[in-house]
Amino acid sequence: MKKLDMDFVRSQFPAFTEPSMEGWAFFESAGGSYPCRQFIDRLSGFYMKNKVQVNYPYPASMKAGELMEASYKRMADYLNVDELDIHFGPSTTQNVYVLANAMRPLWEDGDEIIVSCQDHEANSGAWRRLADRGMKIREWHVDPETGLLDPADLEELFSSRTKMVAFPHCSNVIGHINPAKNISRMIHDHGALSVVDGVGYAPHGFPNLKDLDADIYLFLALQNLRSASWLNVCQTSPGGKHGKSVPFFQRRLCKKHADAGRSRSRANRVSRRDPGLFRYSLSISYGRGEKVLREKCVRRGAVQRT
Amino acid sequence: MLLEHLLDFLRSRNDVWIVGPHTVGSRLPIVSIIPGKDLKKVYTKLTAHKLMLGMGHFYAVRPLMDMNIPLQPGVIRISFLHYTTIEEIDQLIEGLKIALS
Repeated sequence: MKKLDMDFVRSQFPAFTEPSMEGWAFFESAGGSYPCRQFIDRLSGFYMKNKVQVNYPYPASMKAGELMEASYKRMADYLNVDELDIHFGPSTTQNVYVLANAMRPLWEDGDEIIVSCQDHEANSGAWRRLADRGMKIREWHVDPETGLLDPADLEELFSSRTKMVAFPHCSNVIGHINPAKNISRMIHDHGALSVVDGVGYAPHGFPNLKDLDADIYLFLALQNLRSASWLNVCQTSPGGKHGKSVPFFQRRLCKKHADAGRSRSRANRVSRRDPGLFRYSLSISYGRGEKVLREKCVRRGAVQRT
Repeated sequence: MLLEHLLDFLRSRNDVWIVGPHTVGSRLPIVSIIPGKDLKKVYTKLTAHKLMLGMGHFYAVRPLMDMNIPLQPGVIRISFLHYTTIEEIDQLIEGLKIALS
């Protein structure tokens, strides 16, 4: 096996030549990693030259729009998903809170969701609180000795009313990689959605989300040698057994939508399929009324002025 | 491999407990430990050895509850990435030897 050139690797991370770091060894990457200089340069450049609203017809704004688009494209390549499936949000905890609120109206009183007890509270608390709003919550416990989740235990928890299962790709304290693909397959066999917290896993590999087949995958770019942004990936999977998985967060109102949106953009297809849901999640995400949002859409060129 | 080196050391000690799998299979370099003696004192000694580590429950409240691990003080968490060197792992192991004894 070829040896990793550590001198080269270390030289990419300014933190390790920073005088105040001299002699210190860093072992808290799971709480947030040091970024590489390429990232720092790009962010600094953006703050200096393009920190404006995007896609207005002046150069700084058009460039800002291009850079924003590029970030979605790169993240999509890294995760092997369509860039329209990528959603940046304020934090994983808040993203799950929004998601839980957007999904609750899809379900009936007495429907069930399963939450693992290996999760960080981000992918747990907001789901559990749906118990106050008529949902039945079932807990998938870890082995008290090993800390591991056993898929055989999960199998016992399904019922005909199970709608969703939340679990981590890798726990941020146990460190064990769950067989997320197999678990997602089990969940789909029961006609439910899989919501996978990839915060612990994503910095360590290339999560191939098409292969993993999770409906929603969440992680922080913070731990990913980059910086503080939080991602949701909601995979649309029309025609599958769980064919009703739709993107719940706001669709990006970007140039690409403006160009494609008038004909058959994915966002339009989704909003036609379930317009109520689309608008609902939009208003949750922005915390504003539909009118304001519509104006925003018009300004961005995502919809025609009526 | 860095993780293997660290786990070999931790397994060789009878005064520290590894939370989760004790071997590298299906494991990421996120290793939580609970020392046999006062956890906060061990953590303080590790910091004095210029080791930047985490201590607490890391909002992984449910797994710790299932495993009957007190949320206070929780665990000491060692986590690292591709930019971590073998020299740093050796510094950690030296620090652990001092802090645990």
